[in-house]
Amino acid sequence: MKRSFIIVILLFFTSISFAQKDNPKVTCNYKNIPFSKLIDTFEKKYNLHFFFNEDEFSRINFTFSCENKPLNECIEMIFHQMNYKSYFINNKIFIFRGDRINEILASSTIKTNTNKTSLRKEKYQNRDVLLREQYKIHHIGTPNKNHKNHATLSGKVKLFNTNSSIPGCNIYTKDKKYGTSTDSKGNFSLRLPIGDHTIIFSSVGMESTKRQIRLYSNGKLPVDMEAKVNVLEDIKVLGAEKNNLSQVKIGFDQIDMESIKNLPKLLGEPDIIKSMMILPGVTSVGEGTSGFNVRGGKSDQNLILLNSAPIYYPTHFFGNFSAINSDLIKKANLYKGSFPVKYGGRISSVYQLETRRGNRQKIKGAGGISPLAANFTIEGPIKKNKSSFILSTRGTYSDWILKKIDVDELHNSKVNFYDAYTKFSFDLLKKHKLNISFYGSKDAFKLRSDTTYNYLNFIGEVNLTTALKENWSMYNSFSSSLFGYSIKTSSDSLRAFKTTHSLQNFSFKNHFIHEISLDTKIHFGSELQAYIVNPGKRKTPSSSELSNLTIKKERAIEYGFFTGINFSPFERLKIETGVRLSGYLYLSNGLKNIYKEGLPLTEDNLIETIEQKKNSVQKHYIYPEFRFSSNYSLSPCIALKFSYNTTSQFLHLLSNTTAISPTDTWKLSDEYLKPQKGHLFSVGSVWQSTDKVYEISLEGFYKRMSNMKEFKAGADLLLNKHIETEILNAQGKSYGLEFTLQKKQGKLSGRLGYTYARTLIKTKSKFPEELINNGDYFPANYDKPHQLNIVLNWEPIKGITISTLTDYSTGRPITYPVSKYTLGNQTLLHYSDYNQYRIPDYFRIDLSLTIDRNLRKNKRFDSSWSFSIYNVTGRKNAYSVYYKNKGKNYEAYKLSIFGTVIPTITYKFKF
Amino acid sequence: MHKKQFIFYLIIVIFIFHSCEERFSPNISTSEYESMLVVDGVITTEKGAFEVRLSNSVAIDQPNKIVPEKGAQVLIMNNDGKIYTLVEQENGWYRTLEKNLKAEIGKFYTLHIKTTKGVDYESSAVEVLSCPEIKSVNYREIVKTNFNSPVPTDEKWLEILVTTQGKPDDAKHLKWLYDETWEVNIPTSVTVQLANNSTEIADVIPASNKLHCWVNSPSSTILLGSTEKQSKNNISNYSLKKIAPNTPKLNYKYSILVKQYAIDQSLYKFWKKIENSNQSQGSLFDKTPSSAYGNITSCVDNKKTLGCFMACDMKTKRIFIDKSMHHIKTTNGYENCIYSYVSSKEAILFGKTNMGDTPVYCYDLKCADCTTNGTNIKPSFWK
Repeated sequence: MKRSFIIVILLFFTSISFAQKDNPKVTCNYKNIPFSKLIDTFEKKYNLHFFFNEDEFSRINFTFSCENKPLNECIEMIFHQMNYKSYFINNKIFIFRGDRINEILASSTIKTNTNKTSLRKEKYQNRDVLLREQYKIHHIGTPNKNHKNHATLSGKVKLFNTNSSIPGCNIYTKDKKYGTSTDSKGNFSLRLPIGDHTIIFSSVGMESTKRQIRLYSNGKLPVDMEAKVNVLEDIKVLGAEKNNLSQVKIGFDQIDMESIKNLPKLLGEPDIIKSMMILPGVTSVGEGTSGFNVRGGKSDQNLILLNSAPIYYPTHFFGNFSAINSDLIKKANLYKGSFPVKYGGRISSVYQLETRRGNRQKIKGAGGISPLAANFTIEGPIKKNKSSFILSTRGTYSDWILKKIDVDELHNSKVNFYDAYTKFSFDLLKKHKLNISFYGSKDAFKLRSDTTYNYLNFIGEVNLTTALKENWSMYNSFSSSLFGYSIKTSSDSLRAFKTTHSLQNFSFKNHFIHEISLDTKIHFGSELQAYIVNPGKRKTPSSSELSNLTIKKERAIEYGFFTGINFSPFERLKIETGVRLSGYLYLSNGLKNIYKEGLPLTEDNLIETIEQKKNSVQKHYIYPEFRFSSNYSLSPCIALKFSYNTTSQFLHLLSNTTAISPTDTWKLSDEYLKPQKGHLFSVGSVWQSTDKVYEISLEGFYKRMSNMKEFKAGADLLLNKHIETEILNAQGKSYGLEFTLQKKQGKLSGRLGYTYARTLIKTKSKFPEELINNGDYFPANYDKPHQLNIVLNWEPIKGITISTLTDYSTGRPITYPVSKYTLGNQTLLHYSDYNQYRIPDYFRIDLSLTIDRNLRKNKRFDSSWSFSIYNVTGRKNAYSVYYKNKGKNYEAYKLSIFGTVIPTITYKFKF
Repeated sequence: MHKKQFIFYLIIVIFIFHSCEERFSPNISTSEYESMLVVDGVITTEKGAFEVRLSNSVAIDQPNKIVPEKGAQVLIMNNDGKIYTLVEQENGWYRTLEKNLKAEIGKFYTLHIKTTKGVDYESSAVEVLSCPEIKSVNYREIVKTNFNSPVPTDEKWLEILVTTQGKPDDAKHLKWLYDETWEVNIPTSVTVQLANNSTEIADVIPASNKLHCWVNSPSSTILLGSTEKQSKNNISNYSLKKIAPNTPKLNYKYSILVKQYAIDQSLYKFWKKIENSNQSQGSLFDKTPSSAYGNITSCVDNKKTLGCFMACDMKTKRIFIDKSMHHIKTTNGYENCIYSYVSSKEAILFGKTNMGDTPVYCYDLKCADCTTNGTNIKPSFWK
């Protein structure tokens, strides 16, 4: 052990003594000696071991002299003059930057686990006190005073040497028969039988501690805990922020970036969207689609946010490749049961991707190469410790390769995509945190045809977080999101055209938060969004026989005002609740279609199209929304949860294909297309083992949705001036039970999720032409009652991870032909009622092996290899089933998208 | 190079949607299947008898066949109260006895049916809308890529196009049917298979006069057009048909008769639904198929029926395309016929050689008689 890397430092409970005999007097004189050499010299000469962050020290030179001083004083002095601190344990010496300590102590919260290098400045003698507390027997109460069998032990748990209390700390007897947890102020009370007990205190980010007590009668026991310090950046933080047990929100999942990196990958990159689809309650109609369905919601009912800006089509390559580089994501939060009041505008889920900021210490780079695409990220400080940038770009080189190969499937094909993200973050005047970011993605594809499809996303965002006085903080953001596509045919000049569609959103959000205590928080804010939609525009060159066609632009304003409170009315019960007022103004585009009253909306019943004042308010919708979530902790290990949420939605995706396609169009609510509304009840319970390794959760939900958009059979949705005649306002209900079992730590970790859920939709109208299946309930396209996902990660040796993913679900509903008949010379199929059959069940196993060489000594350049096998069994999962006329008979065929084993290799590097 | 190929292979595997299509038997219960009445009725402004075909649908797992609905009473009524009685003929056809009937533009026609089970059916009143003129029927050579050949190759196809010219108040929705007719000739200079597996060319004096025929083939796809999204009521170069190379169709003279029907919007939507469910399935982003019910409803118990009743103004146009007018590769269709001097039980006499009077036999009637898939009577329209 010539030189050591800093590993997790747990020194507070180590018995420490630096005996005088090991502390010889030294005399030395160095000039401009490199740090490494200095360490070498000391290590050899005095049999010492230095621990330090190599990145930080490697390039520093030291000049100092010591004269006949004790070794420890000498070392302390050397580093002190360079503004570094040293800390001794036996012959181990820890070196760290001085300002770090102050940082840690100043924040004095439990969040220290994210700090890279940190130590305590207290003298170890003090820590000895803390250690001794664990071993001595505490006598509580007065002997013989209590004649009952039980007494109450109460007290306060706080962070050592500070006054900050530790809420949510789990307290239990060693035999686990009795337990509780601390309230928001760190107070606890625990009723125990009289006698001897060993009580264990554990909390996220804290070193567990224990107390041996002899309980005579009611009495107090104050407890100090020490923050746990993790030093390696790469260490996986368990239960970051709040764990599911103490989380008030129900149906809330935080996607762990570390675990998705090890998941088997389809096209060589971790996919932040697809990885979320393995969670219970999330389904999709099949492979090759970008849409996902949360608790029975349609895929347009998910609000996908990149920080605070909506992103409308977050995938490349027809939905098989996430358009967001997962390396950029700090955390991904999926809200499927409880929706914070600050979010509105979608009724089924919020999926918020939070990007990380660039490294503020030094320039760093990372990249990856997979068979399909390559990515590169560079980040670093603009002004050290004050501001930073991150720039990431990704692109495919498939086009270049396509040109080199002559395979019939690829003839006349072109697939190209890229995306880029950049974020600048600044700390201004210590109080303000400013982030400016841009995101862009573009896809172009042409598969065996002469039609080129292009689509793009663009997002610009500025957000500012300000710490105000007395635990008040303010959050402001302004963002603009654009989604657009074009379909272009040019090879046949007579039929050349270019059709475009776009959706643009500008949004301003403002949010005030007042943290009264760790558990009590009030917050309020507002949101204003403007939409501009180009429903469809066809442009033709003069040579074309097709004419130009433009559907007038739509404009609308959406606003929201919200206020909420998080509090704990009594011990064990935590509540997060609030109200939101969501409003919407549809602005006239100058024209209005008037239909005959009391008749179905069809073009036959169109009386006239009248002119209106442009941008006048044509329709105003306003809805109050209620959000309520509660968590009642039954015992330190079990929590019961309940939530009720109402939501509304003013923007809809028009799609009458089974899978949402990049050429579906967005439509704003207007007079005919009423806003969608959702009501969701959820109940759940979470059990977590005391060591936090195992977690079981069970959640049930019932959801009602009104004004969901369904479409008349074969509806023509593009370039339709009377789009309202093709759309039906339908009602949906969804209910289900979700079960999750997780093992969070250890060499073998994993998650099993099982969901039973149904989603049924019905159309309601006086007119038979506006009904699907006569107005009866029918299963939604994505109604898959049984869904089972198992993820297992096995890490036999540090740095090597083997993962498997098993995905099973009931086949999605489909409409099959039940009979056939002849008209003229053609035999035609007659289909059953909508979605009365199901395609075969879906089943897939993936495997992956990741070799991470991050742990090598030479940390200049890290690399990792990952091998994935998608669909190990090669099962030909049905995507759709359809019939083809073979002369005398119709024959059924099944289409599989990935009907084979797909291996991939990815190489990643970091420097 | 080897490594390079490996990488390419990898990319191909991953890159292409390894989509594959295979036969499959879905579990569709047909035990409770109840057949439905199918109405196939078109009356037009062309002179002739009014005719309607009534049949019954068959379960999906049955072979394609027509089950005629017999013994029904069928009437057509117009909005002047005029009633036409249709009399049952063969195979579910019902026809008026009068042969000189015409639907009139602007009039509304309704179809009434009473089946032997005593169920009454009635169509909605269908207005005869005036049909835009067929300005031209054109053809042009187009290049398509054949992916079924070992190497994708570009081939020349012949595309048949129709252009319409409508007045503003003409119908905006059109449906087309066509009839193709082409000449075939069984070659008389044939390759004869000899006993030692070699072959020789023989000029044959054929035994029959069934060597020169005309083959007819009606359209079997749904062709719909609409000018709804256009400023002018014209449709230019609507692609009716793409004729593949290496078929006998264009080997001699070819003719196509284009029939254009003017339909109203609800019928257009009905046909569009059928088109969507029957002709555009099997891709990644399919519109979901659905049942399509036409304009016939039962008067009593809301029994659903398939098919529809149409009363249309119709325009037709015929063109001829001679072999010399295109560059499409063709075949005569008899390349695979095997001829022999040896007689056997199954052998059919094709003719005698013009040299030695040796009989030449073939083993497939189609190789000796073109009336197996056509007629040797020259059609009246043939030029």
